[in-house]
Amino acid sequence: MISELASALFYVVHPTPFFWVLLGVVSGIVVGSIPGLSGGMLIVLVMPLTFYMDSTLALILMIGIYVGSVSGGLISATLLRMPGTPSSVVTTFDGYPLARRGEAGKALALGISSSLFGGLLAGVFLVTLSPPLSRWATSFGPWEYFGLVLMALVLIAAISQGSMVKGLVSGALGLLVAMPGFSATDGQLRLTFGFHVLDAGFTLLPVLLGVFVVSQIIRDAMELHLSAEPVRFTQRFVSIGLASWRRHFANMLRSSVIGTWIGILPGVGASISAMIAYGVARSVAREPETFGQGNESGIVASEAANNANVGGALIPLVTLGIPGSPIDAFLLGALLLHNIQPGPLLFQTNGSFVWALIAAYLVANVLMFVIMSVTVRQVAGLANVNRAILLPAIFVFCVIGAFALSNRLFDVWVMIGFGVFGFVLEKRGFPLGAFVIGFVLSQTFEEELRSAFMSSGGSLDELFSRPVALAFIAVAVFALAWPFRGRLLPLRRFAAAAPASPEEGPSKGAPR
Amino acid sequence: MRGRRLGPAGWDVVAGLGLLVLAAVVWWQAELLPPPIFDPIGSALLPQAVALVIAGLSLVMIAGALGTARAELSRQVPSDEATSGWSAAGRALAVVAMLLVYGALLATEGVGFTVATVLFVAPTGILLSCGNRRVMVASVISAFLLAAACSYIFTQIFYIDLP
Repeated sequence: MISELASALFYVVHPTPFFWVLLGVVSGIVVGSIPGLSGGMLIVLVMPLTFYMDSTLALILMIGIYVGSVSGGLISATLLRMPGTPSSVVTTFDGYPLARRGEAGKALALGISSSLFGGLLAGVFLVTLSPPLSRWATSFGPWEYFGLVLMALVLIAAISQGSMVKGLVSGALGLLVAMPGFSATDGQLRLTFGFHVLDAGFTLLPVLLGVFVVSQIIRDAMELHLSAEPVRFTQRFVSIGLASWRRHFANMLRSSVIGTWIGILPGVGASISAMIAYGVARSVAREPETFGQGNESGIVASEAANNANVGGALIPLVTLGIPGSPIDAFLLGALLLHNIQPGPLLFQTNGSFVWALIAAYLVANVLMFVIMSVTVRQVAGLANVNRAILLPAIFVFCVIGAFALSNRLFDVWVMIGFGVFGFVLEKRGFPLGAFVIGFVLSQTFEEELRSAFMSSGGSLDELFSRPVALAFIAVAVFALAWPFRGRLLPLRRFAAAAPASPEEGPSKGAPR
Repeated sequence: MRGRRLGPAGWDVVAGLGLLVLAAVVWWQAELLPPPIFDPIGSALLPQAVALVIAGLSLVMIAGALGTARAELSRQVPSDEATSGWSAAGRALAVVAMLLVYGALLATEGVGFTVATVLFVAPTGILLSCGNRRVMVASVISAFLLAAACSYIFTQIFYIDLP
């Protein structure tokens, strides 16, 4: 393990891979800091550009973007009270008030340092847990995989904000949308309604671009008028001293562990871990009433957890082929685009590739810390880029990306259609993360279910001799049943919707 | 002037009904598939199972929203409250219209990516500028620069075909 990691680190610091990590981190920080844009959007946008790249370098670039964007959101969250990414929503609670008090530098320094701590601690778990988990997962059969995917779909619906019913509907819609075309198992053409353009089904990239990027463009166009009074920031360099590290160490450690383990849960994103870590930090604080008014611990908890979530979410992705968060679903899509089959065998057959991703993640966190510490003032300026200029340009890139896949204008129309669909879904409180996970995992879900029945001759008996599969299904059932615990809830409460956000964070009054 | 509009619960009912229709259509289409030959469950089972799940959840959603929807509809909404969202909604609709126009331009013989991009980016930027003249001018300039840059970079450097 250590030698493999060392080799991978040695590879990543070579000029070419290092350039791509650096580019990813810088572009991720910039995009993450601009309200209305997100790392997920940028990852999907660069996917078509990486068609002709080496697959390792392509994934390294995307991981750099992922790490950078989660941290970049801290800047606009603190200075504009607008989270650059959903995972930074919680940072606005205390970051902005602290900045308004004239301590913007301290707020940013705490956030950046906590991000580094969270990212590296999750990296330790990523390094130590991935190999044994991957080896254990090679014993999975189709029933285990079916149970795992089912658990991921239910968890993202159950744990995300908003109505669980809508989360489940969203996940089911994602499963459904992936079905038109030739069935991967037996080649049967279905759900095309006679339209031959649908014979190949809806391809991954146009759907992702539409649901995540185009819908965001429409949403941003609606929310152009939303803004808070920006805090001016002129410091050239931000950092915290040793005393601050010591004072906040316990909170960083606790929040990082929370972020990592929630990240491991399939389908759950960074905003959830930030919220839970924040809640825990507040509950153990001496002065909980100061949370939401510029309490440093609030910033530390949120940023440590959301960055740790990135590393934690990579664990199920590289070991099981299950996305640990909606953004990991895009990385899964990127692996498939590059003809790399995700799953437990990935570690066994392509170990150097996986270790390169892990090494890139670790290096990206360090680069993020350095770059943000010295360029935060410049990046803060970029957060004010006028969206009237930005949004049309982003759509042009989306068109290029959607068309480049198969040189079909049909894909562009699909993208626009899913953009409107995604906008409407989200406006009505259906979480897009669940839809994306359902879409990405649909083929795996069906293949494993059909393989399972084929191997058992159509009988369910084999399922009952597979305890791991039963455990996954039991977790799914438990997550579904949890809201009904103790008493029978009225249907009205069960279906009551709070506003849901694109990547599982609340978005009321603030763009993504 | 007073008006009525659908509240969140009302839209939930509409969404639920739409999902029921979708589930019914999917079920019907899956019924048309031939029975499985090589595997016990075939290609129809999962679409039908998902359609059933969607239908069931839609009924739950409708039942949960129905009572609240009636109360929302009976509530009189003052005109300013009823129209307060229209400028934002109008902007969103306008952007969607621009996206569709862009797609149509790209599909039109003889227009080409560069011209279509200029014709999309400039007006959309002007629309989103909310009357800011500097932004309008910047949008027009960026339209030409973006169209030219993308045309060159993607075709000559990345070797990616453009629409």
